[in-house]
Amino acid sequence: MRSSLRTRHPWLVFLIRRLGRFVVSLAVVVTASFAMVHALPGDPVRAALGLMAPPETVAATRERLGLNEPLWRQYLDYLWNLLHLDLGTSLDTQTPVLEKMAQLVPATLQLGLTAFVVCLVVAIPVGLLLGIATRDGRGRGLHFGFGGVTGLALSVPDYLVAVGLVFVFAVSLKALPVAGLSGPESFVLPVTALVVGPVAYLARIVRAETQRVLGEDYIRAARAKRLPARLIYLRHALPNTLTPTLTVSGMILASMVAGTVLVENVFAWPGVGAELVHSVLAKDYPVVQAVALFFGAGILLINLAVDIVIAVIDPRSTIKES
Amino acid sequence: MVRNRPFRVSVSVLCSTVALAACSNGGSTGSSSGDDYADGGSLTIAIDSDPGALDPQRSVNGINKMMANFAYDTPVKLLDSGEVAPSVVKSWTGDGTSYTLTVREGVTCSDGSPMDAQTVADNINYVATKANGSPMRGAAVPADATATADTAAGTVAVKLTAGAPFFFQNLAELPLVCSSAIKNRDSLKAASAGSGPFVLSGVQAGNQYTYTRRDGYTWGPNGASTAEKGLPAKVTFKLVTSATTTANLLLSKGVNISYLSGADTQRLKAAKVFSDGASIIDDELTFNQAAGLPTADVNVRRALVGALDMKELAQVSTGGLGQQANGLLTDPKICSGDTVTANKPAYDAAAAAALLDQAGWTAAGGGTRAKDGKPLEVAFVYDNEDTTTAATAEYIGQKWTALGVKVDLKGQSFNARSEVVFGGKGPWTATLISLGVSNPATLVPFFSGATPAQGGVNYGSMHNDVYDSSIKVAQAKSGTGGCADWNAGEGALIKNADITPIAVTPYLYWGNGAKFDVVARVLEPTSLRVLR
Amino acid sequence: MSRSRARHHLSSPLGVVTVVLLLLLVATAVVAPWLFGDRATQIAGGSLQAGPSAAHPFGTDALGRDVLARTLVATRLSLVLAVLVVGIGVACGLIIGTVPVVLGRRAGRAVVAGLNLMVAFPGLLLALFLAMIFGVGARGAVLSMAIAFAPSFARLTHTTASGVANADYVSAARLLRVPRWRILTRHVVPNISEPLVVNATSQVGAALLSISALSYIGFGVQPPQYDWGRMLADGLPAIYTNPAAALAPSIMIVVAGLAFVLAGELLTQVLGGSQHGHLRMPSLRFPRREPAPAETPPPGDEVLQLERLTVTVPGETAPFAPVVDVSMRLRRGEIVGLVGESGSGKSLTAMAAAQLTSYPNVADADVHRIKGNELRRMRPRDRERLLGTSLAMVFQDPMSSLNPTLKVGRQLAEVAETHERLGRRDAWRRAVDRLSAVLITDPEARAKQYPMAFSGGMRQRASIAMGLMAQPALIVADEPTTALDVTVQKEVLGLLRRISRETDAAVLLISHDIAVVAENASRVLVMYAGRVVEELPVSGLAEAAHPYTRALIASIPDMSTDRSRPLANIPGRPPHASDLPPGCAFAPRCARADDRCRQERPELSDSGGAGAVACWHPLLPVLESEA
Repeated sequence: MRSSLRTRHPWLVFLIRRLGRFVVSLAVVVTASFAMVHALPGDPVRAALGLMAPPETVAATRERLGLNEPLWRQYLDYLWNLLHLDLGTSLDTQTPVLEKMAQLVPATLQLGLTAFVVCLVVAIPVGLLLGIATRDGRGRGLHFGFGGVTGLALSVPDYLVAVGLVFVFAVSLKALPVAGLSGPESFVLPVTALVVGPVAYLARIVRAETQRVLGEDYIRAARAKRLPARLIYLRHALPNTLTPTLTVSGMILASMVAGTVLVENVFAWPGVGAELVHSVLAKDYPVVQAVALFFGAGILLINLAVDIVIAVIDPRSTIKES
Repeated sequence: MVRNRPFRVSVSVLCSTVALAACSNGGSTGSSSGDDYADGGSLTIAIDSDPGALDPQRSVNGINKMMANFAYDTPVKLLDSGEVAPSVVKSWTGDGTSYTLTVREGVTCSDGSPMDAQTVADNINYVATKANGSPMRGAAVPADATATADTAAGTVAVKLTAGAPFFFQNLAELPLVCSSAIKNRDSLKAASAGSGPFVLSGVQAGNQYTYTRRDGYTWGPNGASTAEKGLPAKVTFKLVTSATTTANLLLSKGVNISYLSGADTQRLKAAKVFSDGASIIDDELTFNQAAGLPTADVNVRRALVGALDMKELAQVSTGGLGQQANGLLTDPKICSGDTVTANKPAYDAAAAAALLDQAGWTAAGGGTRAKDGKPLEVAFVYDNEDTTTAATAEYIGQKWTALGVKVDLKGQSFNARSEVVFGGKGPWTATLISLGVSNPATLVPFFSGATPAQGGVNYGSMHNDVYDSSIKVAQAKSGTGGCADWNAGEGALIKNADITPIAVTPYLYWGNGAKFDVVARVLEPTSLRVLR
Repeated sequence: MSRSRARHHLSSPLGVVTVVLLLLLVATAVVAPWLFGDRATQIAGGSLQAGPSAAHPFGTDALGRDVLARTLVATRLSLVLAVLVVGIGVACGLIIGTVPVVLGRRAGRAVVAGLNLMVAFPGLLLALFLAMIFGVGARGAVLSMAIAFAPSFARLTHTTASGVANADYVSAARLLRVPRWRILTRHVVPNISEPLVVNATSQVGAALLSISALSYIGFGVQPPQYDWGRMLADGLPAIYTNPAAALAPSIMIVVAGLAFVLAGELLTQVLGGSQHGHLRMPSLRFPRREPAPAETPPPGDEVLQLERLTVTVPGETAPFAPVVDVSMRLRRGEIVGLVGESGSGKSLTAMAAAQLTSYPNVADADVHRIKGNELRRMRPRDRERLLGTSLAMVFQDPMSSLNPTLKVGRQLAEVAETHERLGRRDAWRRAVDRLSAVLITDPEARAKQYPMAFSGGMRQRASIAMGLMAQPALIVADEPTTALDVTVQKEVLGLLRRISRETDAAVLLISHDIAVVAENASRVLVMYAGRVVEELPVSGLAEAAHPYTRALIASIPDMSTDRSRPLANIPGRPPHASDLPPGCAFAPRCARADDRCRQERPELSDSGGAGAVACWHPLLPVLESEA
């Protein structure tokens, strides 16, 4: 029965399993964001109210925020509020966290997704072309050149890239906006700063995968069919490189998200990343929780999307999953 | 990750600051006539942290205060001269426990309702009522104040139970909200309801806030109105956390006005960017005097201070931009005078070593000093979010190590450090703080009375007899009349090395494509001008 | 081999740069604190944040200390912290990653699910939280970064370990009831150390950057200690007023990061073997032989004519030729077997015959004609058309020779689309038709399936069908049945025979199994050490003249084999093509060899019967029958 379901509806089984895993992972992230924040040392109320706040005010605030409740109770309240899309009120600024996140999330998404798309659009063709050009040990010069350039790109911290880009293109050449989110041109520098490392990394992976795939029997078979090079590379090789490429891309996106923390700061980008460091330092529990949840859930969603895309491209993976 | 420190300070300490008296003008450059002004323009002001909830009476956030000035009037205003000037309150009388305020006629709220005596009284009473939980209670308005309006006469009578030496100066910190908002506080979260020259018209929390000019505003300082040529039609406050980015934006006119300190100001100066402002106290060195700590001994403290070259330290502390401080108060000082030179232990490393020897802390073979087998250890906590403070701490640590002290440098975030020092949450021996107050009365709870463990803010468990007796005399006097006594107390603190101010550093607003006045460290909204 | 390979890689440009960078870094880390330690802490009140000068090439910092000296001294702490992070991370990863192997499947699955989740979460953010919990400072930074790094190591460990755990020797150990932890320490860990070492090396660079990032945002190293990240945190805010102070640590971070990235790459090459920069390539300017004059009239029914084919491949010290002077002719409808042990060059020959020799190998022949057309005299487009329509390949492993991401029908149809300009629909119809021709049931549904839905035999039939999309005159089948079950083998070979019979296509059947050839081919070419040593009709196999052919035949078990005697086998191993003896390559293993055999190589010549043999002392049928 089960196996027949599996063979007859591999997609259905795949989706059910994958969504199940997503829900479980999400629960873990929610719990982890709660736990992490409560593991932070120090008193958030004291931090929020300032040095001079009288003890009675601190106590009253603790009471009002439910911080005196037992932890399991706080956790249940947190879950309950989360279900009602209530992320609480920022201890630092006294504003509803949801409102704040609603302001910040779009900016970060715009930045992150643009960077992600740019990363894919640049790295996949470059990796593919380089993989083709250096297959079977061809093109030694190109091989070492590519290794050196991407190695260098991987070794420059993104915040340095950001500062350097501003120095050259915004302040010295005045060619692009210094900071802030305005027109399309304001994306150029932050996106570049974010993608330099990931592009290098992904291009390396794509190249290695391309080389691997080009050594596979089915490529030899395709060559035996005397297909034109275009078909061999795009129809036969590319889809087979995409599975690992996309898997890695999911992880790259996660690292890019971390990159936004520093890059948003340099570019005064009104996003979540810049808010994170501040809220961690200020021990602003609800904001930290919300930001952690945003990043965690975002990454899970991306991985889910990546897996589904892979399943569409590479039919083997639905079977593997179920 | 440099933060514009004065705002951070104001979040936590300036809640009870009163700005007063002479405000030295910073590096104002150039002069512009009305012809250079553009009408109906807009300006962008950079802010380095989010103002948070916008109810002006429920926040002590420095950014919030700066923004509130655009939409809300205060009963009185401070001018550059340091005088208390009329604003919504046109005249006043009284001292001690009884005051009478006369409210100007014709002041209207942005919603059209009058800002009359009743509304002013309601504002005072709202803040003074404990149940409302306003953090301005006890600061802008004495905790024991009760206000009664005489609508016919247009006066407000304020009664106190105890004396308040700086009652009017404090009132300059109270933003007045409209009567509708007193009843419905929630309306203040996304909109403004005040009698100020601008109206909050757009909120993007965590990103930017937009204010629009109000027509018919005529009650600004010296009769300033919103009809003046060049006053911007729109002012946008934009969050820019990085100081370097702020400087870049200022230079490219992505931002027109911003407060800025630190190394980046050198670039602005080089580019001849307009600036106005004053100077503030930078780091102050202070000790924990709890029983059992070596620094409970005044000789140890004086030795530790005497080992430091304050001239050099002032440069380190301000990144070369400031100079040595001569008192604990920050501009605009209510009581001027040099309380440091005569009292501070002179810089003399040999004398400092001798003093430690004398105090019983002797070095066995040039290593760490010890007394009764206990090594001389100093846990030095400091705010590591500020690079110059970190450098200062490192400098001090190195000098003390040379003196034979075992120094444990503990850099922490601003909040973590505050918790350790002011929350009584952890061992510390010495720290760098920036109290940055203008009003000597504000300093009192820090240096006398209850310790954090007892629910107070006497963070260092200090007890200075001379200080205590001096301030007792001073508090009985009103206004600047007590300055000699306040200064005597301050001198006693410095003499005992309870606290040692290190430097003053410029506190400047910078403007590109804009002109403005900074009055008593406050950016005056009606003074903004858009340049062509 | 591996030592010379290591030496080779180390002397490559990549190797030299990497080694020099690493040595410089390590030397700086060791020596700098001694040499510049005092200078780095010397406070100069007069010159705070000064620009570059003769005394301070990179200026001074906020306390007037020399930035260059501090940058150099900071090398030690920066490197030590990065190495610690990776060390602790690898240790944790190793423990977590091998847990599934020890605990068994169910617990393992939970661990893996947890790992997948952890890996997805950005390490820097995790470290940020952890740093707050552990407390800011070098220790907290190292611990939190190590914990943030551990999941990815754990996953790598797990992936490689589970590969090893399924290996035969581990299964055997399990059957022998060796305790799980001992399986782990004996069998699993030693076998996964290589990829882990490679990964760990390149991760040192990443750890360096991450620790710097933590220090940069104030969560890392605290004064009076300093690493490059802290120096950047101090220097970057003043980048516009005193860029040199930020430049020095930036350069070091980038250089150190690069050094470790390159080191990881180098290690991969030394241990795992990339093709780049290791072997001596055959020169493309190899003196190529001119194609034989076109006037030699091709016999009308010859589909493949190959004269003196040589294939050259790269070698450790010099290129060498695993295929030398191989000639063959195949006529229509003929099935010719090509036999030899593995390494004899038969597959390279097959690929060369099909013009599929790929870089860096180089094939060259005097004559290479398909259906009478000299390939090297054809325009590339015509040649591809000719090969695409008249030549079909069947590969050894049907599991890997069909593209897993394309529908089977699609893979067939594209042949006709490309070479015959058929429309999509027509091409598809023909694909279905050809699938049914190779006896695949329900071909219409099967064409829409992906190869993974096919069994091994079906796949091989499908790839034969792929060859039938045009009108092949020659089918090159390279070990077409080696990967299949015995029953399926017979089916596939039968299919090949049938196709040959029905379409009159010639089949070049390559196999290491002379029995397979004997049953299906009409003629046999026997290869040894890159040369054809005997050519003869299948009917004459029993009277083969070459001792090697005889030995191959003797190794076939048949009904008449005496089961009580050990199966005849050939002593010794075939020589490596790069290291051939001067004489007959088979001589060292040949009972009949004499000095002449060892010194002089016999040429292929008429063996007297219907075949040819390359042997100084051929076995004579008469002699054999007498014995």
